[in-house]
Amino acid sequence: MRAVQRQDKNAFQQLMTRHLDDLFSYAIRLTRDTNNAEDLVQETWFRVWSSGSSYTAGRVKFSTWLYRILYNVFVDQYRRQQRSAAAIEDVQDDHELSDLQANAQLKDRLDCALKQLPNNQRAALLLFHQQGFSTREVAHIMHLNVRAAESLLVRARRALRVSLTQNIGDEESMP
Amino acid sequence: MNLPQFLNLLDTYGTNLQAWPDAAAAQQFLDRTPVARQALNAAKNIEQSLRNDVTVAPAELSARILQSLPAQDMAARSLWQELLLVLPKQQRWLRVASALAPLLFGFLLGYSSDFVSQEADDGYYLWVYADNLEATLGEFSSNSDFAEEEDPP
Repeated sequence: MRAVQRQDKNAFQQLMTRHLDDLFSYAIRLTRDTNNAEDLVQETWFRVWSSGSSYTAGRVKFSTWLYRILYNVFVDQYRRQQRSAAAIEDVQDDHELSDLQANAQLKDRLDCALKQLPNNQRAALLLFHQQGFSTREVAHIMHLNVRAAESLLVRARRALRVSLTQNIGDEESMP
Repeated sequence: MNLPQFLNLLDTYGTNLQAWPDAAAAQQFLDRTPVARQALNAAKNIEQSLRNDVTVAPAELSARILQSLPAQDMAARSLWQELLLVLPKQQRWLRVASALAPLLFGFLLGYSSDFVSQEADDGYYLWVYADNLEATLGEFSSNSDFAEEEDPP
């Protein structure tokens, strides 16, 4: 990271390659749209490059800092879209993501259940279970205290469990 | 323990029973309650599915990101930025001090050169004064109005 702070493009490329797929996986789940996810990831790396000097090694892990940037960009974009009255919810649900993830039945159901979660619950759940961050790190990334992050995770897990159980029930009850 | 309590703990602590406050009681409840086992297995499947959920980024994304970076390489960076990067961030006073150093240096330089310029300025003003005095005296001598205003003897 020190090399990136010195604007070394090779070091930046190495760093990006190491984190790109995980970051993109998180972004695509968060935005539910491939194009938005790409924009989000691109803006995140742009900020890493231009604001790299604001990262303090040893204070937080680089990945925590990276996902915090992405989450900030996501929230900014979401607020902008809300202000311009562009409907972010449910419009983009039915394309692309299902093409990418349509392998298993559980994955499909999980997609649907995740889409139904509020943004902050989905973000917390993905950070914890998909990206493997601790609750403390989730709290740091999302600008929350640890208790609030725990509460979000509990609500997200419950909503997911209830949603999936209902879906299973619906499928089982079908002739 | 009953089912709602079990589900509440499952939502709170996840599927790793060892992380639960009373793992032994949970395990006992699990052994005798098929619905709880079903719920736990479903939650494990969800967690595993999320863990394995990696979407490979499009190949061109990496190149696009690199292209979008501003062309700011080492050569274009100022010596000042380089110096700031070298300084440890934990010691913020060093950064502040390094920012104030040029200001202090300029102040000291200006202060020390003040004596030199003072002398030079004195000479300059004397010369100007003398030069102007000559011209002024010439004007005085030919100015009758001024002579009339002289004090009477």
